[in-house]
Amino acid sequence: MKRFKGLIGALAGTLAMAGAAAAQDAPQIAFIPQIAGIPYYVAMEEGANRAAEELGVTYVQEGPTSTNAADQLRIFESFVNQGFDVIAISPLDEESLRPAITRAREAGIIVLTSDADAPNSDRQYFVAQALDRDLGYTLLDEAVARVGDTGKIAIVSDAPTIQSMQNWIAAIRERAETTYPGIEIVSVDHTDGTAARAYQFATDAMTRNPDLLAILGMASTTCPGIAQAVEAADAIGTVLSAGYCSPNTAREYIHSGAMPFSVLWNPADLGYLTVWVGHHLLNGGTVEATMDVPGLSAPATYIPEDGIILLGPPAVFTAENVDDFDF
Amino acid sequence: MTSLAAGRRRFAAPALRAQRELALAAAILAVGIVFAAQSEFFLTERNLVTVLRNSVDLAVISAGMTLVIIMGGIDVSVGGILAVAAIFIGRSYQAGLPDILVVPIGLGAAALLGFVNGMVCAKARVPPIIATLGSMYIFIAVLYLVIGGTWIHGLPNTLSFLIRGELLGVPAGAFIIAGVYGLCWTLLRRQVWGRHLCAIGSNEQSARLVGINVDRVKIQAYTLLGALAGLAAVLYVARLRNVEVNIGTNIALEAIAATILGGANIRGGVGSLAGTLLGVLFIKVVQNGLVLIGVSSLWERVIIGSLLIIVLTLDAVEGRRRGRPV
Repeated sequence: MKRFKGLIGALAGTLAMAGAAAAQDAPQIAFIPQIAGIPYYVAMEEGANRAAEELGVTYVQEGPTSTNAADQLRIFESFVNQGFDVIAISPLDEESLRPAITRAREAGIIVLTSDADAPNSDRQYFVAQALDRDLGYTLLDEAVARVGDTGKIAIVSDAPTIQSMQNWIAAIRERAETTYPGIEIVSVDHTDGTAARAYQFATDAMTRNPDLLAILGMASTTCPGIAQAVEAADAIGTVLSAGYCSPNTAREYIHSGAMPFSVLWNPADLGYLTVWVGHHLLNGGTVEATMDVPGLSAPATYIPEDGIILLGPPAVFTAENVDDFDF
Repeated sequence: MTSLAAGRRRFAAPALRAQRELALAAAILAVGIVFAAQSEFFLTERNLVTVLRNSVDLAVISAGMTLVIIMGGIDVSVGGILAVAAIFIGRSYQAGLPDILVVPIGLGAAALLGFVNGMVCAKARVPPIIATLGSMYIFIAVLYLVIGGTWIHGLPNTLSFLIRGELLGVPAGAFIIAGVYGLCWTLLRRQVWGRHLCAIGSNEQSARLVGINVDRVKIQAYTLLGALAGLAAVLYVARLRNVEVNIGTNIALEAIAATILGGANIRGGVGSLAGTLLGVLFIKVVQNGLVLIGVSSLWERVIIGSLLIIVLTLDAVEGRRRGRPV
């Protein structure tokens, strides 16, 4: 009972604080990630805080402790009730959020999606990190630039249920067919999310194709496995491994040469852009085809048919820049 | 005493067990012939050594799983135990500890988790599939709480000789498998403890009545399985030098599949370590061979799943014929 009273006290305190916060003058921007505390979203938060400081807005980031759509909805509604001016969210489940997004819009709140989209909801814009097509093209372009445009490439992906990875694979295939007729995609294998399985698939692909040019990993979960398979086969320099790998998972292999580069985007820039867009809309700014964002190296582009505001081109992490990132 | 003797007699029915092992060996031979015919690389020494190296962690866990299943138990949390042990190993390395401390820490942590499983099953009398399902959720939560969405990576490769090394031309992994299976076989077939294990699996009530300390044997078996999951974690980290959030995902199911394919009865009392080892080999050969002949790896689950259903159906038919409840 004592603990229960404590809980109520804490709750009342939070509400009071929230009330006080709402009374402040600075515009308030919130972002709800898919899960709290992981380095990727921490990096987004750093970029967002930088933008908030420069633009004079208050930024709050709070996400569920596990990827639980109901918890995410609860957090979204609490931000609505606290009277935030802009709420950005990386949705876990579009269906459960849709009515809440509609209600928030009716209450005059600017609602954005960022990092992931809910295209059929009433959100105003999707602040996107990179287009699937650009990611697919960039990875293959960078690989071809290093190993040439003739030969066999194997793909190792995570579960076939992850839509973004299926899109990336399709984009890689499309790029190979249209631009590099000499490139042959010999296999696409799906792991169970463990590095061991990625290692196994990469080793078997090299065994089956002694003249294999490259192994591309579609998920950070596959990266250490494929890079280590290349190391273990003493194939550094003959077989290239690369993929969509966070700098932390790829760093060691980027330095060893087993995985000379990795393609992804910079989450800090995504956080920065999200806050910038929120602030821009709050001040009555319009969304243009290309928008120069002070603080970002490349301009953001607007894709009107999908309502997407796109961060610049994908980032390529190499031995030169990988140590500047921590996610 | 009669039921114990009956249990042992049934357990010792050699023709049936050997049949299963022979059938499994024939199955491995059959898929091997298909793979060898379709891929010139399947039968190369390098590929077979790769298959062996990739089998070590599953083989180690499956040995312990066999003992637990013979006892009439099951442990679906071994992947979680492997994960938590791997975190202990990773964090210990990051703290700068040497191998000589890191390995016992990993094994000890895993054995402790196995001990907890055993206590819950034995003392609280919770059915093992429920108890270990519960503990699996807890272990996975621990994994997320400790390392979040991130990985422990860049760990030292000082133990990689356990996987990559060889002695007298034989890969190190073979010695580890031989050691673990030798130990488990001795416990099962040459110690009173093994007979108690079989007795509990055949009829727990009777085992209690004849004075076997059922709870103690159970706790010991789960603790041993935990320690073996810890050994698998050591080998995993030695091989891949990182701890990822998905570590151990499928290993419990693969270990149970290997054990059942190898002739163990899911209701306890019957099982074979040699059969289990063949089951592990079958799974790993299928995984390897399908990639080599260019068939989608998704078929691996279809093949192993179908074989499991066939095996369990045959068991049920056999059980009905002998008037055993199924």
